[in-house]
Amino acid sequence: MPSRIPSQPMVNAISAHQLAVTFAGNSKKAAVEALLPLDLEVAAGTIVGVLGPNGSGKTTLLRALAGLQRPTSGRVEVLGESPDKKSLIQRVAYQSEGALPMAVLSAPEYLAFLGAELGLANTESDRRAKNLLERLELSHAGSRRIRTFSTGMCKRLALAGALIAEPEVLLLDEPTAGLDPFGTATVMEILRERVSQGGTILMASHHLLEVEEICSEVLLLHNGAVKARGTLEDLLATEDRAMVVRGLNDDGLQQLANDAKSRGGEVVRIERPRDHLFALFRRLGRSREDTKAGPKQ
Amino acid sequence: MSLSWPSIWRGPAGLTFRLCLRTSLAPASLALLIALIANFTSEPDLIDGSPAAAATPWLTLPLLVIAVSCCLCAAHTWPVFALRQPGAETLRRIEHSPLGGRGAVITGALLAQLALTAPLAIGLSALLDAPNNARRHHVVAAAENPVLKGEGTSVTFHIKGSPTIDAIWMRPRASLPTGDGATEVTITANGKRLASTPIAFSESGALMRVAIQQQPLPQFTLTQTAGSVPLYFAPKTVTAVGAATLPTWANSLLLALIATSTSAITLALAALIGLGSGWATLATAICCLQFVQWIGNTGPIADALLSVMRGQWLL
Repeated sequence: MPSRIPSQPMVNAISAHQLAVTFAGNSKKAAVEALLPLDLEVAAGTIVGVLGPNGSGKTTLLRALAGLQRPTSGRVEVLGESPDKKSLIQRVAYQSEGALPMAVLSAPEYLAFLGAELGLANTESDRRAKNLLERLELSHAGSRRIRTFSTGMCKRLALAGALIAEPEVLLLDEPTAGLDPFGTATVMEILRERVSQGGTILMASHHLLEVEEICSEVLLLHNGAVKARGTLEDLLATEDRAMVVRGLNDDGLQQLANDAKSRGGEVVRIERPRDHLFALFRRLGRSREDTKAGPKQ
Repeated sequence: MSLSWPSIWRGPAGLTFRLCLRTSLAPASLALLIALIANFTSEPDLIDGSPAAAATPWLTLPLLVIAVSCCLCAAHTWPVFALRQPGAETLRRIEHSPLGGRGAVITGALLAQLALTAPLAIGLSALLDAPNNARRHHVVAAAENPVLKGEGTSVTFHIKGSPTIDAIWMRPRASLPTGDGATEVTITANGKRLASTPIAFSESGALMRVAIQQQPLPQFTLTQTAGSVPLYFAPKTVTAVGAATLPTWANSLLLALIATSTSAITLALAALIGLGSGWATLATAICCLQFVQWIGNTGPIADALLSVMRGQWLL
């Protein structure tokens, strides 16, 4: 997989100051304030999730950071440069929510095209494409045209396209939308690897569970305004304290509950812990890979 | 998995070239088949007695199909061509050329069209027995009022550059006769007759091809020797014909180049139209622009195709 990203002297990979985007109206339509002035700083080597309902400004924020949307006001810098700079094409990747271009190509052809456009040497581009297609389980698609791909395959190929240049910053718009749990798990694993190698990721998502699992920080947008931001620990913490106990039988648990009551506490519930579906699919995925690999000698 | 493609195939121009070939081959083959069947089964309406020239309307079909499909493929391949096309954002971000990659895509499409049209034009001109050696038509200009209205009157024509000529073609307009008998005309140069027998004209618009001994010819004179039909030699109705320096296949190649020029115009306009329209509008505009140039005869292609089939050198 990708080589380690050279460490950057800067602290913030992404910074925006009073960034605002307004879509101009006309005689029939009122102007839309897609993004109200916001300040944003994303430290290098972190994953930040951008959450919010539809129309909250997530995509507009990502497009502005990718240099595709000119801010109405404010300043944006990605890796210390204006996001529309040509020098950032390789260093910053943007995976849009929409369909892939050139759907008449096959997956290897598409990645070869992207590699060439991003200035990669042919052999290196092909090597990376091969690895990514295998990793994202698209090798089987062979010479099939992209337009015959399922939504999930398109998403995975879009991610492969975003990763082909091994960028330092990834701007991902709904990277797991339409993916099956196995595909989601693979994508999560790849994103974690990128961050462990020093990459920075800003991802918009509606999948709260994934964001909770992978992101170190979140930004909550609503109607173009930032409603909350910070680490998950800060945002999700409550004044309550919980104790997880293991190894007690029912009698022991009852005694513990009684003791809690006598101390003025309230026993909310006693239940058997269970895993969530996401973890179940991940376990199943692992066992599937083990089966494919066959018995070890 | 490795593609082993050289860089040229991976860029927008190379990709568009390959995709245009891939997309256009089937419809072009079908159109060619239809054109050939139609041509060989229909009663030819001979143009100047040439079966190859008579086939021109049918031959337009496969060449037009190639032009339209290459243009549509180019505009569709590169989503930046039109608003709101899927995937345009991905390309807009990575393509930083001044035209957003449209120039490279147009180049690829034109090369693909040329690659398909050139062999087709060369093959068809050979298959349909277009003259083997292309003839070059030289413009002649009359020194005085180009009218023969009585015995002894004459008109002198000058040929620019004194080219080597071996035929003179004339298609004069005739007025009402003042007496009996067709008008007879002799052709002379430097006092010598170029044709042994006089040429007789009795009706308006009749084409007369007069073969002469091959020679460099700076000027020639038409003199009325008999008859009572006044003749008016309007501009372009008298042509000095000589052998072209290159064979017919080169002429067909020129035709293919002219065919791509119509697509160059179409795609350049499409790039402008696409700035404010979606794919459906753009596709319609491309089809209309091509039809206007090919079928509507506003472009040079219809005349060029007819000229090639008649064996007339295009330059």
